[in-house]
Amino acid sequence: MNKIINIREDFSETPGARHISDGDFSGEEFFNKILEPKFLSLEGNEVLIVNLDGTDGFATSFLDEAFGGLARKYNRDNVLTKINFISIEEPYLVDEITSYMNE
Amino acid sequence: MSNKIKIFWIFPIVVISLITGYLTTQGYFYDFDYTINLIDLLSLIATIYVGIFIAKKIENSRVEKDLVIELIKSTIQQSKIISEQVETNIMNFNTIKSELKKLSILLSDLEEYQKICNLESDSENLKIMFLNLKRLITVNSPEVGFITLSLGSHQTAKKEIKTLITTLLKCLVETNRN
Repeated sequence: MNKIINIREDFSETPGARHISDGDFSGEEFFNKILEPKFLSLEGNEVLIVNLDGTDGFATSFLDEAFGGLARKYNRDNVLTKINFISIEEPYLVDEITSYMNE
Repeated sequence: MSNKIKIFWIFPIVVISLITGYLTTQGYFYDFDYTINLIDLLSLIATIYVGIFIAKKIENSRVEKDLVIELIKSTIQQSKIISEQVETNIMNFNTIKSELKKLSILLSDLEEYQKICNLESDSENLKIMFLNLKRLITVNSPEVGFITLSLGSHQTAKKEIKTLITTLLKCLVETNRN
């Protein structure tokens, strides 16, 4: 069974900036508390589905630190095959995140 | 149209109608043929059908264009809100993040509408401009809840948002013209 992260429900409606030192709900905090543990808990062919809808917007710094960071730490190709994004509200977000993961 | 103008038009219309009526019944200009052949009848039906079809198509196309034009106007408006904030170079982190999200939604809606209406679009270009702008503004950490760009980034961001607005204006003109 696939695993799901709903950022609004599981983390915050107001995601912050890059580092924990920048303030609440940073990309680093999201990576440490939610994203990395969920990613590491995937088994077999399981996929991590990240729902990005319902927040008041994401900064580039948050997205790069969290998802770019995951790709840099666990191999880009490996991460890209194990993670899917849902963004009905803001379709450009998926391309944006993928570009940070590909850097 | 005011009542005075309406009344003004009644007089010439009545006069022209009376003269035309008189001339046609007296047979000065016309010979009426009280028979019609099949080819003429089919030609008449085809002409009426084509006329109605073209009128309907023009009307539908206008509705679609108006829909897209309204959306472009809203997108320009939203871009201007961001432009004003960029201009100050003291941007509230949460506010600018939320305004950028609104612009992103409008741009993707515009892309979708243009596809549905089969209208030409510059959406890929607009998307790249938007993502560059967002990156410039929000890639660095805010200080005490506010973002201030370096001199170079500030100039680039101002240029990017201006180009985005200009591209949207061109899009508006093109949509209206075609």
